Amino acid sequence: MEGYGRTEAKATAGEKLTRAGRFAKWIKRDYACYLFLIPAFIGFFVFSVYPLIASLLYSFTDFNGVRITMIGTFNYETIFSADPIHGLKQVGASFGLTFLYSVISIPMNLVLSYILALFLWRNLPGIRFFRLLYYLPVLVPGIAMGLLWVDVFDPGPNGIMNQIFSVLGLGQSRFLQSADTALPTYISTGLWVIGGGMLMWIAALNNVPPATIEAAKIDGAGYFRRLFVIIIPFCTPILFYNLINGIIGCLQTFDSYAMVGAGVDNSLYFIAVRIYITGFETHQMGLACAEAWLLFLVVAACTLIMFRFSRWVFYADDNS
Amino acid sequence: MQMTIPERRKLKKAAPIALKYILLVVFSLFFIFPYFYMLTRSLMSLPEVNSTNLILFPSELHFENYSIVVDYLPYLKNTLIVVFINGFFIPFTGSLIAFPFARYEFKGKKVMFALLMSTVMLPGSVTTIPLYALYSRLGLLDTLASQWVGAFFGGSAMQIFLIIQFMRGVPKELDNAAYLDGANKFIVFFRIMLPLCMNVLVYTGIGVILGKWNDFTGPLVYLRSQRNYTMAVAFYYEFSANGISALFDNYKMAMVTFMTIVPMLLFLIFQKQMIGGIKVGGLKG
Repeated sequence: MEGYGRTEAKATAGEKLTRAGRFAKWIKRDYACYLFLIPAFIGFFVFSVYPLIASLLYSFTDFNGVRITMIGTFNYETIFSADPIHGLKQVGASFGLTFLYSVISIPMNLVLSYILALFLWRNLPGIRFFRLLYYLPVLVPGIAMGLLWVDVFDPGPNGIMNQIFSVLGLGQSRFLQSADTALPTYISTGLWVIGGGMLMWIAALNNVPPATIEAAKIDGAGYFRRLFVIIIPFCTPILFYNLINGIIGCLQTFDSYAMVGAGVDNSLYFIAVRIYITGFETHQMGLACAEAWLLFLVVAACTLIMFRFSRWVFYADDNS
Repeated sequence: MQMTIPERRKLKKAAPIALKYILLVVFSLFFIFPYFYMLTRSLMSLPEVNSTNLILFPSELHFENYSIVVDYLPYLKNTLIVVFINGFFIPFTGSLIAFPFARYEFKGKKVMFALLMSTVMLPGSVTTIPLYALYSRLGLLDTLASQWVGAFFGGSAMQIFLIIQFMRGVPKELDNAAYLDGANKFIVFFRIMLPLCMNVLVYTGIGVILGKWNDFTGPLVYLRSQRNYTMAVAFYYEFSANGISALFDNYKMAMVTFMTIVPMLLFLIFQKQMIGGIKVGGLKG
C-alpha cells in the first residue's frame, strides 16, 4: 500500500535506520492490522494448534478423560496389531468404508446436482419456485432428517418405503438394518439434499459469458460440444471448491451415528463414528486420538493432492 | 386432422417445454417427500403411524401431537441462547479478521492467511478430545458456554474467507476518501466496511444460526445433564432407536416439523442474502 512503498523508498535512499528504528516503523505501520487479528491468533492457538498437538500427545498415552497412567506407542501398536476390536483389520475396515462412501457419494452428488442445475438453469415461468422447492430438504436439520429416514426406511412392514415397495410389487428390504443394504440406503438419503449443490451450480452457470456460448452456437457447436468445451470449463473453479469440501466432509461423515450407531455388523462404522465411540463410549481417549490423527493425515494428504493436481481448474478472470 | 405449418411449428416448440414441466413436477414429488412425510405423520394417531398398510393421509387431524413442543421449551431456550450468541459474534469477529486480509499488506500476511486456511483440513474428530479435556479443566464441561466460547474467535476459516472475498469487492475509493478526512483503520472498519458488508454478514450469521440450531455433535460431546441440553440433542436422546419415545412416530414427526420451521422461515425471509452468499461462496471459492 502507499505507506509501504514510502518506507521502502526511504530506506533504500540510504537513510540509515537502526534495528530499533525499523522495528518501530514496522509496528507503527502494521500494528492496527495485528490488533484486528487478535481474535484470530487466540482462536488459531486455542482451537487449532493446541488441539492438534495435544491430541498427538494424548495418542501416546492411555488418557481416559480423567488421568494418564501410561506413556508409550501402545495405541499405535494396537491399531497395527490383530486386536479383535481396534486392530488393523477393524480400523482399516472403517477407513475403507469411509473411502467407499466418499468415492460413491461425492461424484454422484456432484454429477446429479450439476444435471439438475442444467435442467433448472434456463428461465421458464415458475422456475424459481421449483428451485426453491428442490432446495427445501437441505433446510431440514441433520438430526431431524436422520431420524426421519430411520422411520421411512423402517425394516418392518410399517415402514413407508417397504409399503411403497410392496405397492409397486417389489420385495421387502431391511434397509439400514442389514449389512448388505445399509450403505446404499445411507448414500441414497444424500440424494434429497443435492439442492444445495444445484443452487451453487446455477450461480456458476449464470457466470458463463453468454456471448461465448452464442459464438460457439453460431460456429455450429452442438449442445454437448458447447457443454464440454465451454460451459463445464467455466464451472471448474466451483467444481474444485465443491470437490475439496466434499472430500473433507465425506471423510468425516458422522450423521449415520444418530441413525444406527455403528450399524448392523458394523456396516456403517465410519472412521469418525469409530473415533467417537472409542473416545466417548468406551473412554479410550488416547486410542481415539491416535485414530483421529490417522484421519487427520489422510484428510491433509487428500487435500494437498487435490491442490497439487489442480491444473485442470480454469480461472477465467485471474485477479485474485 | 389438418394443421397449418405455423401451428405445427408451435407444437414442436411447446412439446419439449410441456415435457420439461412434467419432469419438474415429478422431481418435485421426490424432493417434497420428506416434508410430506413429516407433516402427514405428525398429524396421525398412533395406530395410524404404526399401521402395516400404506396410509398417506391422516383420517383426522391430531393437532394435539404438537403438544410435545411444550416439553421442549427449556431446551429451546438453551438452543436460542447458543444460536444468538454465535449468530451475532461469529460474523462480527469474522469480519474483524477478514478486514486486514482483504485490504492491507502487512508483515506475515501470506503465512497467516495460509495457516488460517489450512485449518479447514483439521477434522473435528482431532480437536474434540483435547477440547473436551480443556473445557473440563476450565469448568466449561456441561455448561452452555462450551457451545459458544468459540464465537469470540472468528468461526470457521471458510466463513472468514467468504467475508474476505466480499470485502475485496467493496470499492477502495470509499476508504481512501475517509483516510483523506483523517480517519484511521478502525473508523474505516466500523463506519464504512461493516455497513457495506451487511449482506455477507447476514449470510454468515444465518449460516451460523442454522448450523447451531441443527448442531447435535457439539452438545452430544460437551453437555451431560439434561437441563443443559439443546433441542437437537434432547430430541436425539428421546427419539433415537434407544430413546424412550422411539416408537411414537407421530410425536417424533411433530418435533421434526417444529425443528424444520425455523430454518425454513429464516431461509425464506433472507432469501436474497442467502442466494447472494451462495453465489459469492461458489464463484470466488
